[in-house]
Amino acid sequence: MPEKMASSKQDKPILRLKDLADRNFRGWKIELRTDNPRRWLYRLSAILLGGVIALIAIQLSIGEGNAFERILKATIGSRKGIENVLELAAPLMATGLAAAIAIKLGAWNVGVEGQFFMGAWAAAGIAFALDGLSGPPLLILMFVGAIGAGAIWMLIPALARAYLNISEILTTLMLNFVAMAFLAYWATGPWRDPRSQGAVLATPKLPEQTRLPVISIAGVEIRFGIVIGLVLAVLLTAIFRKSVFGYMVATVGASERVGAYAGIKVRRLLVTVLLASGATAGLAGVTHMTGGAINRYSTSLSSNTGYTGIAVAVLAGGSFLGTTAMAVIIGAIIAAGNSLRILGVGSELGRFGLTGFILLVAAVGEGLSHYRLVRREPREVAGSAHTPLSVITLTEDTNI
Amino acid sequence: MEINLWQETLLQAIVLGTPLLFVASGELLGQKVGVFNIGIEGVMLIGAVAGFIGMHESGNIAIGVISAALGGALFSSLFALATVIFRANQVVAGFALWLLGLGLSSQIGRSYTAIRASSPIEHWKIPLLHDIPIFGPILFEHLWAVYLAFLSPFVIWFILQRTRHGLNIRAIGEDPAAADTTGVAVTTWKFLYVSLGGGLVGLGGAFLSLGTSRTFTPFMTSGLGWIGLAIVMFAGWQPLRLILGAYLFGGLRALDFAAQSADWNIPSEFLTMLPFLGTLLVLLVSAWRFRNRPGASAAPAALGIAFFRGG
Repeated sequence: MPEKMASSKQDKPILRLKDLADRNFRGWKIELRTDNPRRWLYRLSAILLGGVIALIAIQLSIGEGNAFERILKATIGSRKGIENVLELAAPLMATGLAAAIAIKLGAWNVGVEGQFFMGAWAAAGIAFALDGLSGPPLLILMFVGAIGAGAIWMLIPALARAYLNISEILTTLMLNFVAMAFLAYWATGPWRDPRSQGAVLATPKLPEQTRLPVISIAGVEIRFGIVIGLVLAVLLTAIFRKSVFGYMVATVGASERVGAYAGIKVRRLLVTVLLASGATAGLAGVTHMTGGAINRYSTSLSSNTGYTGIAVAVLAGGSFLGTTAMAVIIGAIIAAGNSLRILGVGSELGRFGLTGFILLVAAVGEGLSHYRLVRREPREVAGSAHTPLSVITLTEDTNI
Repeated sequence: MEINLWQETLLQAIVLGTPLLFVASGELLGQKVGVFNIGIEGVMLIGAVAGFIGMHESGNIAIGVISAALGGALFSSLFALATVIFRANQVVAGFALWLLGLGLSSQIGRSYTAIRASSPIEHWKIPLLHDIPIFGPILFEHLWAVYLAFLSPFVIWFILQRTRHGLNIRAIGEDPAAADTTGVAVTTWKFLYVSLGGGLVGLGGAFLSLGTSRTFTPFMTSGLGWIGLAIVMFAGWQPLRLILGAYLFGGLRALDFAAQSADWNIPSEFLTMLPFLGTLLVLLVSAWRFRNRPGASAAPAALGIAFFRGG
């Protein structure tokens, strides 16, 4: 192939307007590709590229101090750093999995944040009402309550999407704001801890027996949320790969029409999957409340974990096991952003700015994976028997 | 002139609806060329911070407003670059734009948060008209940007519905391939309209930081961008109906204010929920009306689909 490239017309001007309109660059052109390239490769290189660009931009803008050294120390460079990253990753695993479940059907659960809060709310209510119970039965009740509350918070968006074709993006997001106000009402009103003051409003601490254990592996303390996230990811992978339900989801996810032809009740499946997504988000809420550092129901419980979880799931391409890995990477990015606070970088920049930037670059990378650069067939030869490469005729015919 | 509580509430409905009107107009421009930008909340924040910095550094409100529009337009052109040129998924890119806007605006505005706007958007009484009893003080004694927002849907309506250029633009949103065949520069116009819409969204943000709150605080838009998105759907993609939608939602937000003044015994958190519950209800009701007519949606047919010329 290289010698064919070299023999392209040498006498042409570099770029002509007409060629630009035809997307013809010195005998090359950009095309839509119809095959499936390794999308994850594009995504991964985009994430790396985005990270490097962001790091350089931050280093240049702060001027003094070595940002890189700080970041390394706050993430993988020390035992404390690793613990910090895993602590940030723990809630992201579950919220990421919640978003990933919806992505399996091409749906967007932007309401993870709200379902997370409703799950925590239900669990806190159960814990306050039944604080005489011992640990395990109370925890089981709290988890069941949280899972139920998350699913119920998803019910209206799920039904609206399935039966009225209303974008679940808007409905789930609106309910987040409702949940936030609802949370503020309980944290400032009925459940308010009289000792809590200032902007962060919280209930008293949950009963001591509801605290999830912290696990220590090789001297590194790990939150129980990591365990729950990993188990859940394996479980979900098994369900979606091996069961009939998973097969139906894969079929409908690939093509709704094919699914309907095969006799799958598409609407009911969509509702089920969305409710499962909401339930997982509720689980994330109770896990973070009982296993995280806060251990009470508070307005600062989530730190936008629900929204970041969506980014995690998208960056992982909707894969469950990939989501757990990506949660750790994003956890590291947030930790990196936090470590720069002393250099005049706000924590919002790490939590939102870097995540958003990397997601944008990854989206571009994914978009680019739909193109390919091909040798343009000379107009004169088009249709003649001397068509040099079969690939070209194939793509010319199958273009959209 | 003294005004009573219900007059004040109506006045607040218009004031609180104005940023929504800017945002919804901007989003409509993008959606008309087939680009669905869910990240306008982030664009709004960039507009708010750019406007505030522009005003603060120059001491001139005009420069502030212009930099808000430019900031919003530039930030949106990033989204246009990703979705129109590189064909990135619009939902993912929009979501990313939102997160990026949240993070960037808080970072950029860090050193400006505790400052009052020195030359904010001024009130502008319309001569003669503001003397009309009852309605005068409600309608004609506003910040000048309120009138600007009110005019923008009319301008958009005129361009889209009454000019040849507008016909081309609408064709891009309905059937880009057909528009391309007739010689319309699809990619160029898509890019420009998404950026232009971002400029309007940026003005919506600046209305908050320079008009009503007169100071910049991180995350100050608190969901207004998302409501703007719902207003576009509520309006059925018709520019003039945006006005109705925006002031209606402004009214829902004004109830919070009325309740506080009138000492209604409702926790303010429940009133904060109202605009969001209202949006949900409006979406449900309007979809219920069209439930048996699948093709009846007024959305541009090619909304959310990236265009690429084949061959």
